[in-house]
Amino acid sequence: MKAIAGAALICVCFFLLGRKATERDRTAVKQLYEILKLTRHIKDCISISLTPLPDIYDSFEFDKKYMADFEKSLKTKGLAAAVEQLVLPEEAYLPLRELALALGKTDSENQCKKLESTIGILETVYREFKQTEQQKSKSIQALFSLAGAVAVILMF
Amino acid sequence: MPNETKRITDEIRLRKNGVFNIFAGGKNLFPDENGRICRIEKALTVTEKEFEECVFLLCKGSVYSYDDSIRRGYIPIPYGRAGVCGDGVTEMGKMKKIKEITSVSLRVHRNIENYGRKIINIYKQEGLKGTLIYSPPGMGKTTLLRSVGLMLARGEGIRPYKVGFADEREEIILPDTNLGIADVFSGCPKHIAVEMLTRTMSPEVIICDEITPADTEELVHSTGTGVFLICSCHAENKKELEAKPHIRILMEKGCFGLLSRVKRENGVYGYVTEVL
Repeated sequence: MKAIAGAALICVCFFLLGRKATERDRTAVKQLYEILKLTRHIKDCISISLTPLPDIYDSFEFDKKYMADFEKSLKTKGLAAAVEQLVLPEEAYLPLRELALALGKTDSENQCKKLESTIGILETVYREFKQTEQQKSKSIQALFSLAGAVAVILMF
Repeated sequence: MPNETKRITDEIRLRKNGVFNIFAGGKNLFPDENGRICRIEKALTVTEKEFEECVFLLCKGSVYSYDDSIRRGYIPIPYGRAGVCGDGVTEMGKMKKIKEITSVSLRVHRNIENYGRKIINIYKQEGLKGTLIYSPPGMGKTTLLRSVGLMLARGEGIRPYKVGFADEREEIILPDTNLGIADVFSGCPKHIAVEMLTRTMSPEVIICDEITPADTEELVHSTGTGVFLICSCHAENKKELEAKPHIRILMEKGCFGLLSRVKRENGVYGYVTEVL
């Protein structure tokens, strides 16, 4: 009985290690999704009502689990500083940073054009990154589970 | 910068990649890096980055939310307005937008207590009169308008009146001057503000800065409803004033019973009045 419990514990530990190993990518996917929602919200607010940026940020509901630090930084220091709190892939980070530096500095027409192009890039990156992350996550989970099983066989 | 110069500064001008200058005591002055007044060749220059940062800050970090006022040549700020100009884009003969702002002029607004006393005394003796205040730009017309309007609203030396301000560029009423005693319609063209005030606020007096031909019809209509107008207009003298067709129409319709020419000598504000 003790041996079975020990084997199960080892398997669970390896499974959790696998989850931990893929956590960063999973967070990046979630954050990327939130950022995509935020940029769409900014574009809507600017094109419809020319709402000032602080009011736009205040009116957006963030997923607190992944975006708490980002939200705090966004509301106090602005998007350019808040972007640094994220764990985004470089293909998303660079256009987002470029957008952050341009946001609020031109007229609404140019702001909407810039937002549209950034949203387009972020959508592509999100789609591809999510697919890659799912495949990578499955492989890593499988690998860790297998390693757990091997460890159990070797020990017993 | 010397305190005396600061005290008499009327305008601060910034130009993208150009010189920084101030207008004080009726003169264009050029400060150097240490704030000392110098020759234009040694004047402080404003870099593109500094200029853009300034516009960004004036717009509270959201330039696009000021699209409409920038198109009309200004950015409203709490103590007046920042005039802007640059590379304009027109469509069907109308200004569509300013593609690139290249100059900013910050007007320093003043609130001089009792400045309108002379005009108030005339109202007290002869009854309220439609008043036209005129002078070349930068002489203090808005300061006088503000003072007379607020003195009427507060009832200083006269009974308190219901005063409405048609403050298109949000520069007549400063944040610390209204104190909740007058009705202010700001941020929209003057003729619309005058119409709205007349219809909805039943004012006895309407204050209106820098009237244009587009405002004539509404101002004549307001006078016809028993509202007294206190307006301002750019003109050097009475001859120049009467040469303006829209002013001539307003005078012929009896909108004004008092003219006041504002003057400034060595930075000292003053005005002369003429009862018509």
